[in-house]
Amino acid sequence: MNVEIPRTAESLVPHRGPMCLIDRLTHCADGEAEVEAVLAPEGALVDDDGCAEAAGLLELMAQACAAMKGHEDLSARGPVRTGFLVGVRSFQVHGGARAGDRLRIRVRTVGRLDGFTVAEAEVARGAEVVATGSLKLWVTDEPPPRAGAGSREGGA
Amino acid sequence: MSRLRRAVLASALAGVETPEAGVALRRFCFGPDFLGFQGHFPGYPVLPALVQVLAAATVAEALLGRPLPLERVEHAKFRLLVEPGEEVAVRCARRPGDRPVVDARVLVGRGLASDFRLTFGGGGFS
Repeated sequence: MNVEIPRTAESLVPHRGPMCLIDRLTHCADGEAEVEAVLAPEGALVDDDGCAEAAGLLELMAQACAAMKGHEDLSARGPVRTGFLVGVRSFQVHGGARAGDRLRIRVRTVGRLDGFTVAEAEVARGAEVVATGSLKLWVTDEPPPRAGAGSREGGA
Repeated sequence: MSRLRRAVLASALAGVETPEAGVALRRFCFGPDFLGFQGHFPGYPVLPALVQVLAAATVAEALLGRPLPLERVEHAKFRLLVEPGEEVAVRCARRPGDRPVVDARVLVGRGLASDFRLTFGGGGFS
């Protein structure tokens, strides 16, 4: 199934409201994807001086991976599944990001096994790469059980 | 300070403890209205990894004696889903050496929720 691109993030990821940090998927093919995000001045991650939390760049990578998986799910005519970040081998900040910056997040799948996906990612502002990372996500068909309803293992 | 960082600090149950040299610990409880749960995810709120890292960064900054820019997150494993209302203990232990590096552990009543290493820029330990 051909899923039209660009596509809004909210059609591809379960995140909503202030914790949906990405805007749209602009490319997705062959295990690679590119996502755009504009840091809103009133966003949860931006301080009074307009500087973004560096750790927020890691969340952008995780949400870009989720958008790629969401596109792959829709392309396979399935429902969009939820992905949980379960590991970060490395995440490195190379530069800062500020309110109003249009960021481009590129992700590339480097491994898949039993619902787990390993991806490499980078966040760039224009030609400047501001963060790189290697992440592991767990993608599941069902929402996790609620508290007191059994195991709640895995992810964030 | 970002809105999310303010919300993290507002969720602290008490001040930073120093149970032993080179170690800092702080307890948090992220309630259902906590900013980090809003939309993450609708119908099944889960504490974002971002919040766990941010909380640990605030504890590490107390340990290190000053705010420092986050440079790296490494060897991170997010093992348990943390839900609203759970008491969360964030423990940071300074690693030997001149670099400002800490090993962080996020614990809930059920066990170890996550662990990771944070490296900060801006010079050595105070």
